Amino acid sequence: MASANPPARLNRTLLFLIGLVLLAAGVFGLLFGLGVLRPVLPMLDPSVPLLPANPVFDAWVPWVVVVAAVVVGLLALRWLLAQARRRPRTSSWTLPSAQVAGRDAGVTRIHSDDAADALAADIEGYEGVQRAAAALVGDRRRPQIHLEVTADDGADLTALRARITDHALPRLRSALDIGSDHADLVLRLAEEKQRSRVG
Amino acid sequence: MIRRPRKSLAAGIVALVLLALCALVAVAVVQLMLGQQPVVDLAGLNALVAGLTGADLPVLIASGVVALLGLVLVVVALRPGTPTVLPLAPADGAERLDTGITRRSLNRALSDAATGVDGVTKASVKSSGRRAAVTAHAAFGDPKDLREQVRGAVSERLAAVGPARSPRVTVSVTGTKQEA
Repeated sequence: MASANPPARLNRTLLFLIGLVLLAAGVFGLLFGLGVLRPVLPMLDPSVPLLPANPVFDAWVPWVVVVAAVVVGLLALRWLLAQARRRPRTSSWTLPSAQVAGRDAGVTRIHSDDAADALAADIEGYEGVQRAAAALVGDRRRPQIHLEVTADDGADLTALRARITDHALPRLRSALDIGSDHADLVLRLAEEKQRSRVG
Repeated sequence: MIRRPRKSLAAGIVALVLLALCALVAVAVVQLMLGQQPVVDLAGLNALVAGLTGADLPVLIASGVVALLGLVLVVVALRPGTPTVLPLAPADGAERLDTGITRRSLNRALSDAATGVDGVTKASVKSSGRRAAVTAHAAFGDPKDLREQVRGAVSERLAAVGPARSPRVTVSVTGTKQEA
């Protein structure tokens, strides 16, 4: 399932895993150095130098180090770039092929963003709505519908929510022939407009 | 519909450090393989750690620092953080639309409501989902009276927005002289 709030889950997972590795390494170093591990692992002698005085490496070691550094570095770069993506990942949909006059009329492809834009435009037409954005994520038959709506500060939010469920979503469902029962909505309230102070 | 912070700052810092370390290691090792002077002084580094045992103080300190860093990252990853989007109660006729409001919007709506009270010139709200702390700056009026009025206005606005869990509203009024 695609995350609705990228990259929150990715960040938490990776931070947790990296933290866990560092914590384990640090704790191991401490226990080893203080000699606590000695009774359990007798071959680990903390009084022996960690590295030989003049380490000699096999010829393949530098290669492995370079490859590992490049791979991990590229993954880190990808993680860094993932911070810029704030929308859930959308995709292109292939609608089922239709028979027109007994002949195969071919397939229709639509990007889910285009369908989502139509939905957003519908909602933007409602009273009290300033901006609307939509994303349809996942399988074409049962997509998850994510909405972000900026409403006027004094708008009737209950009425707006009812209008979206009673009008915009059914329209989308019938237009695309989809059976999605999951939709979520993030509301924002617009900055207050300058009120007239006259009178 | 609740959203928690993305932890982008922590993630960005860790990713950047990781990227820099990897780049440094890759460049230094390639330079070494080509017989050039590495960008990192590997010989000096080697001299620094040569002869160190696991029981030496620098190694213990380094282990402690690494463990602490790991602990910080684990805590950052696991702490949920103040929600950025707070869930709203299911509305009549819209039960299947899972709705939330950004905390920033809610705070502004509530402070607008507080500013609407006569005598209040400025108001700010800090909310956590469980509590909404309103600080109202008043030009005139009885503080006790104002506090009640601000609480009333804020509660009314809150009811109109309809969060799933109504935060407890606390009000403090500044700017008016305390009467003896």
